[in-house]
Amino acid sequence: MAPDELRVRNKMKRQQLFADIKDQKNKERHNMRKSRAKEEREAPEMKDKRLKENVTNTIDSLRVYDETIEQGAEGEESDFSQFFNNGSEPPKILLTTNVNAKKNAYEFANVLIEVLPNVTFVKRKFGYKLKEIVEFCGNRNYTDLVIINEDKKKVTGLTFIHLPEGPTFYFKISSYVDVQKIVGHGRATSHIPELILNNFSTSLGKTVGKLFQSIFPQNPDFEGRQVITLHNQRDYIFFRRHRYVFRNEEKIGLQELGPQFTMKLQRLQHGIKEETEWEHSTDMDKEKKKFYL
Amino acid sequence: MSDEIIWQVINQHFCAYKLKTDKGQNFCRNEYNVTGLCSRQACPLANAKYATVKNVDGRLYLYMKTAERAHTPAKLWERIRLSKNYAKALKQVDDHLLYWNKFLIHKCKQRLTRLTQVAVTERRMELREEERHYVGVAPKVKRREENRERKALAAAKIEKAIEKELLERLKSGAYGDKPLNVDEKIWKKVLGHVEDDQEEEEDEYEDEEEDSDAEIEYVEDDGDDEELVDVEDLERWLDDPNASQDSDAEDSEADSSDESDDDEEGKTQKQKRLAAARKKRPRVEIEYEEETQPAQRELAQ
Amino acid sequence: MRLLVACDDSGSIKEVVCNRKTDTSIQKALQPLHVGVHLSEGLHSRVQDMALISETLLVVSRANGLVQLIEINQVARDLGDKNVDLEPKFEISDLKVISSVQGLLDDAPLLSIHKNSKKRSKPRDGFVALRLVPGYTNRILCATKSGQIHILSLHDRSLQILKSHRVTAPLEFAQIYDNVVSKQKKKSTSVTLAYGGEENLVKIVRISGNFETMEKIWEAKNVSNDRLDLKVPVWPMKLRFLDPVPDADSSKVNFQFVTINHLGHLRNYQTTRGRKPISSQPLLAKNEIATQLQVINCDLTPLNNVKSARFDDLKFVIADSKKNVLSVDSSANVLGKFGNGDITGSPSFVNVVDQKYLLEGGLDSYARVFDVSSREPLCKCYMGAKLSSMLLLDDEEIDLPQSETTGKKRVFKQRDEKVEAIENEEIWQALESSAKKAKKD
Repeated sequence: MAPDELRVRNKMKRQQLFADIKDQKNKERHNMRKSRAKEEREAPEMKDKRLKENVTNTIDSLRVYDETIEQGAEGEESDFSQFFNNGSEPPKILLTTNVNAKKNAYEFANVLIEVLPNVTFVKRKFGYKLKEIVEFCGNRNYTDLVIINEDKKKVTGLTFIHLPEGPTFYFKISSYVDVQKIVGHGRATSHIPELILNNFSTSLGKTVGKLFQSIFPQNPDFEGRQVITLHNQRDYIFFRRHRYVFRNEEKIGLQELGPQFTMKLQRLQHGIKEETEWEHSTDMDKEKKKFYL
Repeated sequence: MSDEIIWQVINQHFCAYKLKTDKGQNFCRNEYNVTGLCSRQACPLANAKYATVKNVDGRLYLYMKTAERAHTPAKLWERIRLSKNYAKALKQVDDHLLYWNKFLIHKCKQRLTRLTQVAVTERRMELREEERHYVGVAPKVKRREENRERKALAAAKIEKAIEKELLERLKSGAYGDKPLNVDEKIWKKVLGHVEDDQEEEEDEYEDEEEDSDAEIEYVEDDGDDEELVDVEDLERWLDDPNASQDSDAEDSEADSSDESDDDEEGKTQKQKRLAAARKKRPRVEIEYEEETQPAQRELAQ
Repeated sequence: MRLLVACDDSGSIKEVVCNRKTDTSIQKALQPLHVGVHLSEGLHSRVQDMALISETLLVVSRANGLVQLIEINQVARDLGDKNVDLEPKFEISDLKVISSVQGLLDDAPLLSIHKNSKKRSKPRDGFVALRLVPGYTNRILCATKSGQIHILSLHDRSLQILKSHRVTAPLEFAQIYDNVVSKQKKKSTSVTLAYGGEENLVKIVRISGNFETMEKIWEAKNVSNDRLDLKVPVWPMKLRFLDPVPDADSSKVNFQFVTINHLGHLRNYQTTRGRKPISSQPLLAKNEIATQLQVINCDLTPLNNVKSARFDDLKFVIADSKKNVLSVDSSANVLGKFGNGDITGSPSFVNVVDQKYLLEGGLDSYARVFDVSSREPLCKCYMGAKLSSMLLLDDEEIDLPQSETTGKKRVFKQRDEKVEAIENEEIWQALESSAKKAKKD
């Protein structure tokens, strides 16, 4: 507004007037809400309709368009369904740490031993190169190699290498919560848990989903009623383990078994740490609503 | 200028290369210093006759200066390339520093030894495969990621998502015809729902059959009478020879009915499926309990 | 623009017809006009290399050891029940295999090499080159990782193996020399090619005119040891010939070429001046691997060699195994970056066409075309699979039938502004009236 259009010249007066108008509007709004609530109490379908029409925008719903969600990777013969066995042979995993691992890495390894099926832990010896380890695993029919990466006495990463020819995934690990620290945690049994993979939508996300699918056996023991969840939200993958019970046909009781941790994909490489297929860089953080998984 | 005057200035006034410590021994930052310590003997400035060993682009050289060349700073240092062979290099130092003072000869040899060791270590580290490469993370980025993770966790509503997914699995029949993880009553209700849906779609003359079918199936069921089957119960049940005979009998029954007639299609199919489920289950359990689990325990050790 | 793209995951060749400014990542941007999938044969027989040998004939090599001769026909598009007037008019290609040769790969020699290799070169054979022999229209040369060089003959639209030679494995590239091809139509033109690979120095061989014999005429020498007195690993990745050095001693072998190696060193060789490189400059940071090399500011021969003898004036585009496609000059200064952070996977294919277009495709499943001089992206298409090879068939723009949606949008926007203005006015009027009231009071 141009200054000459300001009709009231006293600032205090003007502010007061404006406040009055605002106040009036507020009152109107409150009244409107009251009457609407009354109406809707009588006719609940109106409320449903209104809720359907007014959906709150969230970062997730405003996500930047990604054509890979709709189109996906082509054919069932995608790279990975061929590499990752389709449940034909059960996974056999070798778990190890980086060289010179400290206590925390071994504790985390203990946790993973409980979670992962058919896993062997081998203490990492100095002097073996990655290629030699991979060859060793290949000769003994291991299907996956998992390496715990530790830095400054903290577990910071997990590397998954699918054998014998890759791909290699590197995840950052954060907010690890020990089983003991979860309030009301239950005790895990040795049944093979079910697996829930949520929200892996882009072609990269589906690749990651397939990795987890291939690591856990395809034939869970349902009587154990245990479920491992890998929930992807905004590129953070939340790991949770629960025991569930169907209370009735609409209600479920969940008991957390632990542990909890969060993974974030940092790098996906072809082969055994060869050509990079995708790598996280801090530039990618600039756009808040762009997600890659 | 005499060496003595230079040393007086350096020692008592100021030297740019001097690094003072509070331990009584000062260090020297001059790259020609043979020991790295600030002392009268080891000072490359206050000694007109001086020798040192330096590494230039991976090659070791013996550097020497004498008072005769002190007036031409450009040609002050005479350098001799030392052999790659350590023993030969020592010999070279000995030869070139013949009649020099013992201190410099000794220190030059010490420095030669140290530089050779450094080169060896450097080479070994170069050959070692780097399994990971470290990247620095700015505190700002770290904080940002933490915050985003926290917000993502809040937005995720994980437990709700899990519940939804599990219910979906239950209702879509992913747990098979006779799920082990559901209470019988609830399963019946769920089944009722599902069948209601089917009825709407199909045109059916076998309503009652299906219903009665379902009832029969579940009454016969022996293992699932309790709320949920525990492992121990299962084991006991598996060990029980009667139970296994039972299931065998059922199998054969199912087989016979399978062959008998086709007019009651729905019923026989249902039975077949159930029989298959029954057939499968004990086998799966036996394998699992006896083989995989001990194996797993072993591996964990 | 009409592109042929080789997709790994389904082992197919896709034809993409698109205009400039196509971008599948933006919903509102122009989308490719046509994507046709041809000859899907699965991941195991994915296409590794493609070469056009005439207007309508294409040869492709596949990972299962097959070389196929494919005929491209232009056919009318089936529009179904869409309005013909509203659809852009263009023809699409139809690909048909008319002949093939198989069994050209051999894994055996690579197994021992794989065992001894510190870096992992996969023990799986593959094609590294597939080209029409310069001076011929019916001879095709294909080279494999395991060191086999096959000469295929094309006779009566059918392919046959004419002769196979073996050279030292492993091969990373095989580049045929076609800067100077004798113009006489003699039948016996010899073929010169250079090859190299992991721990396999660049060698130049000549295959005689009847393709029966092969002789090595030159071999490079490794550069001297590095600072720590360690051997510099040998692993040339790509090679491009330059024109031979003018007025040189004619008795010597005279070739000039530039290579990029696994460590990211750009090297220039002149065979008249010894076996070591004349210059060797590091381009990339330590532990980064360069994979691609093309020259961008000079006329190229059909086989991507450079029609110039001056190394110093050249500008290159190189790609590494992470995600960078850089343009650099001959003294290894980085001039700019293609893609501006948009490329997220390792580029497995980079080619320059007519000094104008840069075709790029790789593990991030996008086929991209850039303008070479301005480094602006021209189009970007999601292919749904990793790419291993691309061909630009033509660069014609296709006329799009004009639709009237743009006009409507503008009108709508103007009205919005008007509504806003009216609302503002209302507030002020309300203010004014209440002010008047206040004054009256």
